[in-house]
Amino acid sequence: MSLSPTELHLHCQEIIKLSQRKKGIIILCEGNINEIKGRVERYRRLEIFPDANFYKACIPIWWTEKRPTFVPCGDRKDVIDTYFSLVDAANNSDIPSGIDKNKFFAIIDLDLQPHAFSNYVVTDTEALYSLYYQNGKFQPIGINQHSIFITGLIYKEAYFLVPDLQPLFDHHFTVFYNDQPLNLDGLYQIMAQALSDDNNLCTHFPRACGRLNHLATLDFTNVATLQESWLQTFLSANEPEKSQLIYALLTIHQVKDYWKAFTPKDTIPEARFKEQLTLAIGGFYSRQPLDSEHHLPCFFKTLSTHTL
Amino acid sequence: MRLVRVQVPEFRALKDVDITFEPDFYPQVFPVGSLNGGGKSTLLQLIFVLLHCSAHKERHPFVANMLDRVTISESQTSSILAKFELLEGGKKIELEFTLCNDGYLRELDIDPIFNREMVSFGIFRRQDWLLESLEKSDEELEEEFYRLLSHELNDPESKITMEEMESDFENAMKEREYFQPLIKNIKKSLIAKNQFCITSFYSKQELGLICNFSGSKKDIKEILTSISKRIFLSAPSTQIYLFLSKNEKQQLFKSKADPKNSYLYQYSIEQSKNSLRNFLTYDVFATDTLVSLIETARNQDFKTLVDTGTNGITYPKIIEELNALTRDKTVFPLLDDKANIIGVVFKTPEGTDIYPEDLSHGELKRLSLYVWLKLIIPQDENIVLMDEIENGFHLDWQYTIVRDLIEWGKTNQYILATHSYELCTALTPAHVKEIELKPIAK
Repeated sequence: MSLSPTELHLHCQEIIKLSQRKKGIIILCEGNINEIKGRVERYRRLEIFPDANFYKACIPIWWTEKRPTFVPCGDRKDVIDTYFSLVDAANNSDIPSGIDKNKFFAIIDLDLQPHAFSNYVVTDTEALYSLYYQNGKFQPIGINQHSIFITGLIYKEAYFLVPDLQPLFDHHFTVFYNDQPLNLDGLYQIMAQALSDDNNLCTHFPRACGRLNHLATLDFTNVATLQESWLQTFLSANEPEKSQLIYALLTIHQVKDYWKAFTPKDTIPEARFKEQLTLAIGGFYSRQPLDSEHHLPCFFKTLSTHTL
Repeated sequence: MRLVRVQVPEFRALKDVDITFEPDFYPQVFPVGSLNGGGKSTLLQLIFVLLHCSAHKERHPFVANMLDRVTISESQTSSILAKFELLEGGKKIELEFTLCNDGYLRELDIDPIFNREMVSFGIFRRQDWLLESLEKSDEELEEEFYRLLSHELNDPESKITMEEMESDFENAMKEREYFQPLIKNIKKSLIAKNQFCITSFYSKQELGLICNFSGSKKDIKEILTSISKRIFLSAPSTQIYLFLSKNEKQQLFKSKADPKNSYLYQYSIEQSKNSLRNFLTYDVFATDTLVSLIETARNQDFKTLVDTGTNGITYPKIIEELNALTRDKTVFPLLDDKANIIGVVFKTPEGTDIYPEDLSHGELKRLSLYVWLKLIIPQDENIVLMDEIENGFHLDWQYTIVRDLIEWGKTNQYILATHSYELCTALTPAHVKEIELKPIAK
């Protein structure tokens, strides 16, 4: 359910006030809209860990001043609507409004279902994806032309399943999947075997293929041949090729259900466990070196070049 | 050591407090919020005083100060002050601190040969010497007395006569003869109920603080001693410390026109640290410890060079960590002619030298916390209570201090009394605890 015009207007007013208080940039992201500023007691009463706090936890440790502020805006459409409303407010104000449109950025989740832009430098979210990612790698394009970012993997949850996180799942959190200690390599094969049953992928198969055409070993005839070729190649792949295949899978196949099936070893309630694991994964991305190829650290590195 | 649960039925601003700090949560950092006057600082100080002071007689005056205004209604003989559930090495320890009046002692299984009216916490409080003498024989006490007597007689300024001293000693021994079996009897009755008398004090009535314990086969004193080493408190120096005496606390509210008044309060805080070893105020920055850290790192790297022929990495790593603590400054050791490190200096990007005392409030606070947590506190499973940690930090640092604390003392549990929403967002909502405001009495 997207924001009504009144809700959108009120939300933008809140963000404008926030942007006038904060020195750093404001990044609009997906997630339930909760209060932007608040009291300790109100934060405690939130039933779920805000999505924005995952991104906040990912901010690199080297970014010590004027750190970006993430503001949840609802679903993908809401994020885009909010961004353009803020830009309009800055452009259309007759009197000096104190709104600095250069402060506003947005990050949206990649999906197989595209969203068309009515008045932006690219036509839709798929074109935005192609702009930022080539062969699955983040491209640091000119930040002054593009203020809307898109994740390189399908939904932010895909970032919870990248291969480099295996040590975190082994040592700091004991994560179980199907009552067994989580083994990501095994999970990727389970995911690949389910490609044919992924209705969203079947519907948007040509678009998915467009994202993976740099992988010559895959057979894009149909979903079944893609599934088969992925599995065969994966089993005999060397390290760099294997990594490419995993990232390819996480670019086209919805992972939320797998993430939901993660369970803790301990008695800790599952929801609490997931929140804490999310926070720890954010910490993992925040500690990546400057030359990291992980998408999120690259995103922050690009953002940090923006001067206000 | 982990504090798993604290319950305080009623103490000053606190009412029906029951907070759980889940031992399986990651990270072990728990903000505690409340509106102003909710009792966050009181709670931290109560936890610290009970757990840090109970095992040590010289710290008992702080307990008595803390409990300055408590009373027990006439219809009761005891009232629970606080209950703690702790984990030590995976084993649960339960401690219950109860305030008791004389009526409580009189209900104990005391030998009827003793006059019930004499059974009072007053005998504990009045006769420290009596308690200490329990462990000694008559012969040992006589020997001590004659040693003291000889010392007094040889002191030309002594105003007491030998006859007076002998008379005092004789009276004390008579008192001991009567009270020793009684005190032993009371202690035995308490131990039979898994209880231990921590201290006694006068707060409008004779009161005693008794600790009930369960969950460990260890001796209660051993448990309390072990806990006292692992519990730490840090807070601003302008805080009202309830464990100081009434006179000392009043200094904070006297006119600041007389500089002596504010000095006296600070002096009292500093004096308290002689006994309260695990207490830090944020304004203290241990330059000596920092110098020692840099020197050790340098020596270690030199040893690595001698042993392996390659430079060590300890020194650059320490310097890198220290550089990250200030906003934009670089740390340099100050050397004397013989290359001994005699201090530290911070260089600004413009090349100006800044000494530790010239750093901003926030920078100094981060440095002092770094030195305290990383270098002074033993790297162990400690419980670290921190009050108003966000003061002096801008919003970015309020958020990143959570990560810093984990980095500087990885095995600690942190309980942070705070008003900072920003700080809380570095954790999950379930990490955040709340103290409800006590209803206003009509």
